Amino acid sequence: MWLFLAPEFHERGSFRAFIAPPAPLFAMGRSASGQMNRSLDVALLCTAIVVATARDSHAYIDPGAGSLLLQVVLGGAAALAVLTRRYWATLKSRLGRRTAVAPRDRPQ
Amino acid sequence: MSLPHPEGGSFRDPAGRVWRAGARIYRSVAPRGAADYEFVRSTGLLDRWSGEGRVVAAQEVDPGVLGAAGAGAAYVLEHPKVPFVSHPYEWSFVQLQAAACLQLDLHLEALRDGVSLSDASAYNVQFQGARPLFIDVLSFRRYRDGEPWLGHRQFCEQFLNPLLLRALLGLTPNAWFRGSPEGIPAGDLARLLTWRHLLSFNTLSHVWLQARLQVRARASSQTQLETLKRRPLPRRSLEGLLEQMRRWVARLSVRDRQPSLWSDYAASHGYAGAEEADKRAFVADFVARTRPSMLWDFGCNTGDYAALALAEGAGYVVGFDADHGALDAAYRRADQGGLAFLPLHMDAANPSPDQGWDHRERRGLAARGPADAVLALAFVHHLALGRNVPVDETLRWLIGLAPRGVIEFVRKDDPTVRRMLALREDVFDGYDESAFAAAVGRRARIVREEEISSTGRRLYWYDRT
Repeated sequence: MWLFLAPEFHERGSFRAFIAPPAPLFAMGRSASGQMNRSLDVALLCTAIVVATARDSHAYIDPGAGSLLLQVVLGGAAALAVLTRRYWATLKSRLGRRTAVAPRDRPQ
Repeated sequence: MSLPHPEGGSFRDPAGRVWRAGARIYRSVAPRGAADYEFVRSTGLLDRWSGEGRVVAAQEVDPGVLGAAGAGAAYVLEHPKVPFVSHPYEWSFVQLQAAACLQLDLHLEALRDGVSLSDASAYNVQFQGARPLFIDVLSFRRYRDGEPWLGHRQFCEQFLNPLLLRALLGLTPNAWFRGSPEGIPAGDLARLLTWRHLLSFNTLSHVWLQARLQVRARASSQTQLETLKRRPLPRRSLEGLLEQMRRWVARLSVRDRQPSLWSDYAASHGYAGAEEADKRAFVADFVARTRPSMLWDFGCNTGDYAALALAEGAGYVVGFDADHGALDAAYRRADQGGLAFLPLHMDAANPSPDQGWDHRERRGLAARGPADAVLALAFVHHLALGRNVPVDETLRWLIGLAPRGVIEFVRKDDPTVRRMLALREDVFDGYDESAFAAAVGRRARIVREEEISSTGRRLYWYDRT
């Protein structure tokens, strides 16, 4: 069930996509000459996106491909969990302030 | 002033390295690490944390103190010395758990100021008594947007998996961890888990799935790996992963098959009340008169005598025991009392050796001595009778570790020894009181000796100075 929470899973539709780069980069060599220009444009756009988000890796130790892939998989759910927890905490503190006005008797 | 020499275990991070010069500890910051160091320094985090006692204090000093070795360093820091360096494979469950929580807490706090941790090595945490202390200030780097948790694999192998071995399987990880000092791989742990363990989302993800993905990644091409390297992880996701891990690790608890042998030692120690008092008085007298700054307590059990020694004026006590139930209890005592007491797992018949790269990365027990004094109470017979180490050898080893100490002789017909030898043949002809005293006397002066139980136990205070 949790796999479906990873947004990438839906977008690419395939688990293998996690380790495969965007398809157009590979399609470039195979397209017919008539579609060459369009594929080239798409490829350049994808490359631009990748380059724009690219970072030099500052990992001096081997982070482990398994670990990086796992973080891709869990990332979406983890962010969601953080947001939910913070929202819930804010909600609880707001509710807490309201009931502080009319305290209830709690059994000891 | 001794020449500085590089610390054996500090070479992997190109941002800098640690040096020893006599009793002083320095850390040089290489030019490539300068920018990150300056940024982290500007946030004030390091100062705040060292004030709280969670990160080692660092003082910038003139690079000239390192002489030629410091040439080219952008900065040189001096750190106060940790009283006794210990390794993660010598820690009990609660110690490793405390160290793991510190690592994660620091990472989460750092992120709020735009700082991240570049690794998650368990060797970056040391203990001062019961307090974990993060010692590698150069692990803190400026957070780059989109950077994943780079230390996640290392965290799992050096913190999480050893904890899970005990929490999920009831196995103590120390022997394995010591043999594999860079940690326990997810793939190995995954093989030991049953389907029941995998019902936990956390275990399923960080152990089983990580292992499967690692295997899968072997089939990746270079291009695919490059893409993976560049794939950004949103900051909120990073925080989420850290928080989730923090919550999970804090909740873990020991799951042992049966209660450990000595954890209820107090009930079965073979002393009547008054005899216990005599033993305590002897040890208290020894400590009060010798005032050791560093005392090693072999067979420290739950730390009764360690606590006594500290109360009587010992500076710092390192306790060694092979029983995990006792160690967990000893750590809790140190933690609750804020004691300068560090209990560690050690099998005296197989103490930690020098290991790692060039046998110099992780120093063994002997290399971390000598101590000022040793206590060996209800201990020698475990080696001499339990493990067949000749009693003369045992005493030679013990007396060699510190110039003075208290050693207890327990007779073969003592109830606890009889039980230990119940299934065995008595091959210990040379084990008796006179041979014991002679073996001590050959190597040191016996300052004081006293019989302290009706079963013939004797204490010997030796001094070889």
